[in-house]
Amino acid sequence: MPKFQKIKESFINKPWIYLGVIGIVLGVVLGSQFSQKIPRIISPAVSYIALDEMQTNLESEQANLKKSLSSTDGKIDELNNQIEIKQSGKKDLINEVETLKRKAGLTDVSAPGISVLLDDSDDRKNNPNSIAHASDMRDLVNNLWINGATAISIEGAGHIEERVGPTTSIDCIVNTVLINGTKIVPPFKIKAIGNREKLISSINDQKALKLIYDRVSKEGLVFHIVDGETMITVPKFTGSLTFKNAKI
Amino acid sequence: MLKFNSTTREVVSKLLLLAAFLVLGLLIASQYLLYQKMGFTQSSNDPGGKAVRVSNLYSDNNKLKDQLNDRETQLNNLQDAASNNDELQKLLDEDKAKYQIILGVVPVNGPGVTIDINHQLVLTQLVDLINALRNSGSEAIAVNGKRVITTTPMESFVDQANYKIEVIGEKDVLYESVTRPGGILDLITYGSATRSDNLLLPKV
Repeated sequence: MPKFQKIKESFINKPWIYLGVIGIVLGVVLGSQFSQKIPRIISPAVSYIALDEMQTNLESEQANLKKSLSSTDGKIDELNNQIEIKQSGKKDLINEVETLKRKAGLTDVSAPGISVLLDDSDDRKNNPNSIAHASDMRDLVNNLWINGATAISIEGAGHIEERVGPTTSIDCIVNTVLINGTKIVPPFKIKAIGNREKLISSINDQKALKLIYDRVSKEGLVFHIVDGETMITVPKFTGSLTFKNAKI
Repeated sequence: MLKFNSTTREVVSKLLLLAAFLVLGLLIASQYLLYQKMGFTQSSNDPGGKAVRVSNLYSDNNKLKDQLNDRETQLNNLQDAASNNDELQKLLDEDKAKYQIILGVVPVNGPGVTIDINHQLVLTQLVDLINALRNSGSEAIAVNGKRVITTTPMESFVDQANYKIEVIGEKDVLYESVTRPGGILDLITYGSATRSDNLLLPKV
């Protein structure tokens, strides 16, 4: 104790020690601050911040493009209706084209069906097996087609919904899922129109959907049919319909 | 040498400590902000992910722009067709052909690639393969002579001894996406691909 007291007093009596220590610390910090080299961009990749801004701009551009597409589609539908009324001589052809269009998934459709919820586990978010993957949805969609679904769409958070159509791919991009070029995040609702009993039994088939059910039991992945959603509306397909190479 | 009485020493020492911590705090904050501005903290948590997302957004927006151009052309054509019988006929024929291709109710021809795989594929490989081909811009697909459309389940193609997958689309784009390192064949299944100027795929 007296030794400690002695050291304490010797420090208190010599305030230059404080100044010295502070000076050294400041020197070190200031030195490291000034010697910090700003990294040069030596690869074609732009900096993270620039990428961040670019992503925001591109997302906003995508939203505007989709809005414009929807508006143009509306005008096309309106004009088609006007033509249908005016051109009664071509009524059969117009009707045939309309039927094909509907069958191709280019109109909204409402009919009995099911809605399936697929979501990340609540308690084990850091485990890759506890989150919903694009591959789960690919397997689900394939399983629903096998069991007679006539229309399928996938809805993500914020009611962003995409219909599965002729050029649809379901891909994982880091931590989001891209469907028809639209970024979708969980919770996912997979909506299918068709015979309800058959579709329900297909979703309950633990053998066919083994990869999903294994993770439901082991990792807490959320996967079940949504009760009470028996009348399903699937929006029209809005993905790419550019056929430049395929000809009849 | 400086000499203080005990009260002054205490005040000076406390003030000095306060000033030192203040300056240190400011420096730490400015250092952190500098690092953040340079992207160190964030990019180290997400290496490459942001670039992939931006790249995909860019390519998807280009596709959307193409779609919008197509729709605007269609709208213009419709406006002409509203007052011109021949234009209307042409437009209806084009739409009809497009929908028939989508539904697979007619045979279809065009350039593309043929993928040959000489071993069995399980269901998930087939699902992923067709998904990847659609992502690469395929316009029509046939597996072992059978047309694949939106609603075609992959079950019927499982465990066949070999596969011939014919894909109509931009043949160079398809070929590259199929054969490049880390591409479809590399990631999903081994096989070979050849470009073709004219493939003929059957109807469903």
